[in-house]
Amino acid sequence: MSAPMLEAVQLTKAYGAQVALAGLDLQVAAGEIVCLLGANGAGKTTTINLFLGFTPPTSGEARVNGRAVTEHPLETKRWLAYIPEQVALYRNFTGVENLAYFSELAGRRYAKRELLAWLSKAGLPDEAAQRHVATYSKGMRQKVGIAIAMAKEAKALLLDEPTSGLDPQAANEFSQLLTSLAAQGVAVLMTTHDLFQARQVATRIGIMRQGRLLTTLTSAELGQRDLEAVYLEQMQN
Amino acid sequence: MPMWLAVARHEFQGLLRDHRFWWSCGAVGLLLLAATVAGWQQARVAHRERAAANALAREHWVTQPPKNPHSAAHYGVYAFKPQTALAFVDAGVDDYAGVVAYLEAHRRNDLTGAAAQDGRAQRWLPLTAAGLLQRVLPLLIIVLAFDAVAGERESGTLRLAASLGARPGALIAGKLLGIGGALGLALLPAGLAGGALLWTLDGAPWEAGRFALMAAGYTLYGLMFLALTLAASARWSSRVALLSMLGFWAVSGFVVPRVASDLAARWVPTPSRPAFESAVARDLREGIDGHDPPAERLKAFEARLLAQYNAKRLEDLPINPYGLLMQESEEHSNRVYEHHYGRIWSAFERQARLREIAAVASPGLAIGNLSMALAGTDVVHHIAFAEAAEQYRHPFIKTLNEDWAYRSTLATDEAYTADAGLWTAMPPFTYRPPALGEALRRQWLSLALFGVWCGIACAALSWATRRLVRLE
Repeated sequence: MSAPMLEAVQLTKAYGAQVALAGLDLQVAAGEIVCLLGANGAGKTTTINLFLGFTPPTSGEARVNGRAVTEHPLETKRWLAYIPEQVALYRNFTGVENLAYFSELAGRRYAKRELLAWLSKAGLPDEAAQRHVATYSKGMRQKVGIAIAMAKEAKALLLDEPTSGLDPQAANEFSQLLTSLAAQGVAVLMTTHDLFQARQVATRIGIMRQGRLLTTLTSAELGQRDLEAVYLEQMQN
Repeated sequence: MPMWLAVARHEFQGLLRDHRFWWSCGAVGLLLLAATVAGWQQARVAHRERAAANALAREHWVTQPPKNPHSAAHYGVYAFKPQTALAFVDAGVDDYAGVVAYLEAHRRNDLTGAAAQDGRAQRWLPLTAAGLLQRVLPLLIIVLAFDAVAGERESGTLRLAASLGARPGALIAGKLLGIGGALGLALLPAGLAGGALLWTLDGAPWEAGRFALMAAGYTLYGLMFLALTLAASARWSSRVALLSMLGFWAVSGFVVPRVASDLAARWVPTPSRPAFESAVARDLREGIDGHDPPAERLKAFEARLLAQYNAKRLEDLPINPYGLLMQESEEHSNRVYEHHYGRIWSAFERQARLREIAAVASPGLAIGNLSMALAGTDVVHHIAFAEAAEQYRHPFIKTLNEDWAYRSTLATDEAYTADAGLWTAMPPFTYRPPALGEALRRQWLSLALFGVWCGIACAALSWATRRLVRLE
């Protein structure tokens, strides 16, 4: 395994007495797709937030490309892209204008032709890309989110339940995109409730409960085992 | 392109695409334009009337028939306060304190010609450009910017932007510039049209320096309110930001000025008109505070006069003692008026100072005081004009009394008349208002507090920006 792009070292987050994440140790290398499974409140989103620097850890450290997030909040974001469950966009701007703006915030400036190409790669046709986002379905907004992440050419992707609410075809297209990005060397950390998708794309699956990472299984270790059964077994222990 | 510029452009474009922006800016722009056009129209009429009245009063003075000079002193003249073009942007205390002085013998009259006397002035929200800029512009800014950051936080775009490495400082600076630029663009036509109208105002001194400073002051005031609104938006939810800023606007824009005026009037009371006149009448009768009663003073003056001319009776004097007695009486009344008006001016200045201090809780009061000073319509300018008119009245009356005294005797008194030669020799009233530097120096406290408010806005914005790094 190459050097980790994302690394959690005894990463802990507590809100008073409430422990949201307890001593997480996790590494995601370039080209890996790690899916975190778990019930609501398991600590999946907290993990993502800690890597993004949206919340400071109580103890431990989140590192991106070897740099501590708390010490280098802006620098570490240079390597990251993030797709939330609901991609929020500016409703009175077109898809291509949204992509142009978010790309500029990420320090990249593209010609309109290039922007359309990114959107097309994410699955959004030109006609839709030039319509106001107010007319978009959730799936179309997610595609713009993917385009934003791809246009940033990030080394690591943080995905927080990105396919939640997408129709099966859109979710499948999304999975294919992820696999293709990972093949290009992008490290992916994704939280999801979708066991089918996790099984489909993950190179490693982590199961979390009450802030703890109970187990991680590579796709080889998982083999032909039923992921749902493994998941329920971990939840019941 | 720097990130802050990209954010500014995005914010600018977003606002220009928002119908609410155009409706609200259009309404305020139209109000501004209407206020300026109405002010300009009123100013044109006022200038024309004032110039005509000034010329007519002078003509009446120089063409009056031959008469006793002291009768001419009773006939009197008028002094008109020259108003700058900016006085019609900010009427200040002129609406209540008056702009015309009637100058006559024995009496010092209050200024007249106040808009409040004929119902043209409105205390609550004067429909002048300054009134709108001080009270309505902040409301427009609050309505447009309260959710500039909070709305993005609530919708999730701020989270996405932050995940991409957008710097909080660049986001906030860009929003400040973008919203400020869009507002400036929307209100610019009204400002330019107003400026052009004021520039064409006949007879009003056009002072580019004062205009530039006023424009800069209101621009800073708008930016300060925008910074405070953005700070609230960055710190709180859009609902809390809106409510807190509306509360601040109402309290600082309406409650504090009102309370400050009431407290100033209570802590530094000024006498009522009857009480003032009664005190003046008493001192005219008995001398200031009972000293130097006129009967004894005039008796002593007669004695000095007889001794000076080595005469036993007034009838023996080679001059007309009535003229000198009138002048002696005039000088006594001048001292009495100076004493009482001095007290009134001092009270006005202390009241004005208290209102300046109240700017601690109201940036609108600070810019309002500066605006009046720049327009030449604050208490300082009012007192300066009233005093200049009074300083003109003294030699004016003295010249007439001395003409009577030295060009006639008691024997020729009834037959003596002065004529147009004397009337035309009397110079017309001229007045130079306090220079810009002096006007601002007198408003140092408002200037300092305005600076403090700008500093507070910057500090609040900086504090809220630092908090923006954490999105929890």
